[in-house]
Amino acid sequence: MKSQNRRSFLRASTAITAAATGLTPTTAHAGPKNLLSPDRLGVLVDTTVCIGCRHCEWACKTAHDLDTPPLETYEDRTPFEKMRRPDDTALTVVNAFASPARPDLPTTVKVQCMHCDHPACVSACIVGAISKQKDGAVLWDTDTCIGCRYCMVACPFQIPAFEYGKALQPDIMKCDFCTDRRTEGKLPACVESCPVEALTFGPREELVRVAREKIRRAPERYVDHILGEHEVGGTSWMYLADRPFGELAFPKLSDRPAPGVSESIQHGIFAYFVPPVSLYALLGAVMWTSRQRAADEEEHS
Amino acid sequence: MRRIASVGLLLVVSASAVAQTRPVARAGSGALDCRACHTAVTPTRNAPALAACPRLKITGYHAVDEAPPVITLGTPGKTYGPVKFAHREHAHMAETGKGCSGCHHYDQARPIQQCKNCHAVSRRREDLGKPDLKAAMHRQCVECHRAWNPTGACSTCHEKQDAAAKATGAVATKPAVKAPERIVYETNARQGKSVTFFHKDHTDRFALACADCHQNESCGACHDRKRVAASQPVLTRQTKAGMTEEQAHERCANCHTVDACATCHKGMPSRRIGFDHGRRTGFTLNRFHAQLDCRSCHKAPGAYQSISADCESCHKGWQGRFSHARAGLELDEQHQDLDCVSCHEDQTFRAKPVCTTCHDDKTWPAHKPGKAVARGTPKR
Repeated sequence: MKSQNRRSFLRASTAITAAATGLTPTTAHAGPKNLLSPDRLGVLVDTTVCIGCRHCEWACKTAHDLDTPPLETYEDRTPFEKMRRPDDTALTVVNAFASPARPDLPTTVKVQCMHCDHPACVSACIVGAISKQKDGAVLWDTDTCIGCRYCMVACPFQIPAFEYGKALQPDIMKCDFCTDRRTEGKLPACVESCPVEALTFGPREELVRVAREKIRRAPERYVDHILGEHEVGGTSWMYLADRPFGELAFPKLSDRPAPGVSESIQHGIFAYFVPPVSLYALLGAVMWTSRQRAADEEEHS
Repeated sequence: MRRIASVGLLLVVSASAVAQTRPVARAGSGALDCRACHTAVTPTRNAPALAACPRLKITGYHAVDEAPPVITLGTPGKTYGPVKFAHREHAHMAETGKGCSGCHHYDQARPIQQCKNCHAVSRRREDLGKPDLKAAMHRQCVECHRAWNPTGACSTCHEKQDAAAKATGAVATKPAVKAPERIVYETNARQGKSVTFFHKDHTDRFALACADCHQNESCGACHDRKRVAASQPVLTRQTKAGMTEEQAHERCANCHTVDACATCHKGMPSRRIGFDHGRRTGFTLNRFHAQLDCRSCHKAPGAYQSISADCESCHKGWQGRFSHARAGLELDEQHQDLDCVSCHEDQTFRAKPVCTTCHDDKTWPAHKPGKAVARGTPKR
């Protein structure tokens, strides 16, 4: 992978612009929509099963070579006293929410990248460092990333984190769906470590079917809503819960893909380079006619 | 009409109530019954006639005290060992709660199904509708225990694996099991004398552990104590005497190759045993003899053979050279020159000495023919 810095990026982009203006338009579609495979994978998080042991946090850190305290220290329940967000030191965290039905047993919810089917981060990334994979994962290329942090602003779930503490070569950090482990034939670290399998890993379509069946069999246990089935156009990670998801600190989201609006404007402006070319052509025509007129006037005078 | 119906209903309800309180069928005890799974009398490999698994609640109940008292759940992991589950105590508690079917859900009449018959051992699996085995077990326990111990600490139920055991792999690893593909039984039946049992098919398909069927069998049937091949189990744990288990067993196992462990261990493989020479041969070893190696007396090569209990058989010509002080008594002048048999009538010197041969009013040990000295430190 070629490393890229700001200067080479600018040079490349200038070259590309110059080339594109002189060439016939190429099919430069936003990729994700075309990549969605029916076999893409996902995880179903059943928050009614989760016991808040935080073994997933430990397993995630271990799998990603992050600074990991010993497993026994995760028996400590004090981290639940405040809300946490995934950051550059922890790609996933578990938060607790007081349960009205069982005051002694809070509902615990794991948070990580949702691996959207139509990821806003992919759309927002100006260098194409982030991409939606066929298997469902949303991955980013550290070597291409220039650290603009647009993805952090674009993400509807506020997941990508930045290594602010690093002066040299800080990276964007987020859940990578354990792509390395999965290519070795292993399960994602969090899924493997969950003692009660609150995290079920499998093909997304199968997981939707399983989730529906769970709700049908135990309507008293679940709200009739699979978070992530339709939200922002669908996500690879989906959630089941016993109460509305707004009460579990999930953002209220529409079913339309998050990048839809910005992409439609951007793609509208630059589609096949027809609008800019026609604009230049129009301006050229105006210039040409006005110059022609000026020449005529000179001739007459 | 309504009356008859209500009486009928009452009968049905009371009958089922009686059925639940009285042991009707012995569920989950004893060996597997072929008929529990096979519907035909003569199942064959191509037509096994397997009963479908109906998702029914338990129909056969037994008394709680007939339930197994303790069950070991799970297998040793990297950090934690399996759980010793006090099944009977939980069963007693369950009587007031969800009953047996609280845990043994969707179970067949009998035998009690193992969790792994339905819940996949691997988390990577086809059927995602059911939790895998590990999750299913954890959920069963956590359902109640979580409220009492919200930390979710593994050590609540699991014992941490012993570091030493982990290092030697004595607990965590077992050698590969060599099970037969099939066994042909010869029977006395008039028709179909031979019965072919496809052993591997049964164990593979139902993921059975050896002990699921082979109960009350000799440990030696599977574990070769002589270890003729490197693949067989090595007993490397240290005994109290500082020997490895292999060394400790060697003396007996050289000859006792087929005896069940219980021959010596009385059904408790872990209980420390010693060879009780007195009980098994009638010759109790005194503390001098106990220090000797077996071969010092049992000199014939091969299996230890019985030898004469007479002192002369080993201690040739000892009489006349023996200092009685060795036995803790220095004889006085009157007794010094007497024959041994004058007092020790039994010749083996293990019975009480007699004084009545000469003295009417003296008895051992009230009266002593000399003065007591420290035993075993003779002056030559």
